Amino acid sequence: MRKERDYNSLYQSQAVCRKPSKRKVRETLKGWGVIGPIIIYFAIFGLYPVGVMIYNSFFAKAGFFKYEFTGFSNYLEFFSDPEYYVLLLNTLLIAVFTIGLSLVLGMLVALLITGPIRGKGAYRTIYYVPVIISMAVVSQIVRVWLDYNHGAFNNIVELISGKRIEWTESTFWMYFWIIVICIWKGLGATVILFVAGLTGIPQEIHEAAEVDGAAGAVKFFKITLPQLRHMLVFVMITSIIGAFNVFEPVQLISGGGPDETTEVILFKIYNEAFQNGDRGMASAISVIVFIILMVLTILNMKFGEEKQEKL
Amino acid sequence: MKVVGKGTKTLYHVLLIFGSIIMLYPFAFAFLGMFMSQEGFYEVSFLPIPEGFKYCVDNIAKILRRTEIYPSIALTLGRFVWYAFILSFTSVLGGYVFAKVNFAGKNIAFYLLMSSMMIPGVALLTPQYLMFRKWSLVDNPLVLFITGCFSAYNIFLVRQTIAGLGDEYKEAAEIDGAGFITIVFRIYFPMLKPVLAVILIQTFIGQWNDYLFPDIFMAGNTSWLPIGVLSVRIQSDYMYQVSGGGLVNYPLAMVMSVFMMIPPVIIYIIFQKNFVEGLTAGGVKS
Repeated sequence: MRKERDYNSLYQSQAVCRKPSKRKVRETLKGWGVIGPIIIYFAIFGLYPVGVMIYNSFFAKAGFFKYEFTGFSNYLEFFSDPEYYVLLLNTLLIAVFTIGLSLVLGMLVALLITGPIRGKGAYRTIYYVPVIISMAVVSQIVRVWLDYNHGAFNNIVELISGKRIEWTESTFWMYFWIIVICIWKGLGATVILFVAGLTGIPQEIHEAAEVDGAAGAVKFFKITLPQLRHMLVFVMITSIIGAFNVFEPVQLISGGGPDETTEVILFKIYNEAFQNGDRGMASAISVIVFIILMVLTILNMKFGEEKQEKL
Repeated sequence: MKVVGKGTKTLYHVLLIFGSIIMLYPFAFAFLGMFMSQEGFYEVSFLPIPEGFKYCVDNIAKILRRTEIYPSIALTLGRFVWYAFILSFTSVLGGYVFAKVNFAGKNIAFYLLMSSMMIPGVALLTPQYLMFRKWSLVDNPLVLFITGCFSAYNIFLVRQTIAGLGDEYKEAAEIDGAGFITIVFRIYFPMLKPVLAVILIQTFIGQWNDYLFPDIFMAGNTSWLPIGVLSVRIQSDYMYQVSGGGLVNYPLAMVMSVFMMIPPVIIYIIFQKNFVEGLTAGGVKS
């Protein structure tokens, strides 16, 4: 009996000593067996293109299908030629208006939805529907509205002012409609995030503020907004990233016009890389977008974490 | 709780309903537009006033006679099935390995994969185009199936879910002699339904609406266009006057729009809860 137990414990201790190394090898094989192929795939389709992009950005077009190494010339051209740096300003213009209005409207809707009313679920559903619809299809509908001769909006405008508007000939109106659809399409997501943020504010803070006599606007600006500041930054950065992704409304509604005044970055990349075929310049623009968006994404992940801690 | 007057509540509803009307306006416009004749549509102002049911039937029939939409829908569904499969597969395996397997270099592998979330997709379009052209993948239907076969974000979501499930299942299964594949797909997979539902829904909506990527990479091969691109091309056929040809026919463009809106809206209404989860799941606490 005694002997057997000793033998048993000896066996066990040996097993404990030997097993981990064997087990470790097996676990490592399993781990890399799964992750290895994914990393190889990522290297081919994610990292290699980054290298191709940086490499090509140092070449400039020199005639038909001929490229020569010109160092940073594409980058210098981007920041000195108004044709190119204006793209950043155009993108920024869309970003500023979209963000400003979405924040205000999104907050307003979120405050109303979290208010003491019935039918919150139904409202949330309605405001979120545009998020799931194809941007291209929506852009096509807007294009139909803006037809000069037969468009619904010109019929309305004529009814009111007696004149028709050449929507597509006006830079102002083209920006106006691009920004309107961006807001319309993104508002639902902003509202849901704000509603999550608002319901996450502890009730005690509200009650304490009310005891101290704060109400209405004072309470909103001194209590609610500061509590939501991480959420606000998160939504803002997400919207800037979104502005760099604006493509369909520009391609389908304004076509970059009139006179290329509504060209945005992605539309330019599209034209340079796939239509005109200056892959050097397209790569350089891509590198610039890459850097801007990567910085924004890293910032966003940081604020996203803090936002989650808050919730 | 503060007592809120009836007047305030009414004001809340008035404002929210006003907003709802704006949010739903394009849907209503497209839907009512289907019931219009070609000429009747020219007079539309705020909303199309339906002219008759027979126009609707007629318009839908005209769109359904565009035979190119059927292979396009099949292609889109094929992409959905493929991506639903490969994304679930990579997410579940990757998520499991990061959550439950202790292997050398795990942290490095994890951060390397997570770094892929920082690479902005739109910046990669140019170099991908150059690469794929060299590999003869531009205008080749294969290109619609080879990018985006894993998602670091989904791997992360699954990892968080599995990490929260505890080791008991795995240990019990190992004692019973179950192998790695059995443990992952027979034991853990069924417990991941909620997170897989989010992945499937996002994949479906993403594939149905996919526009920019196929528009660039399949530009020269119109017989293999996913529905997201083909629908826009079909709409454009009716929206721009062909020189010397017929007039614009907006009701047909509206039918196409409604057609594109129906599947996402149905999915959304059925799986509403998952949508909100997917949106706010970003940082499931570890």
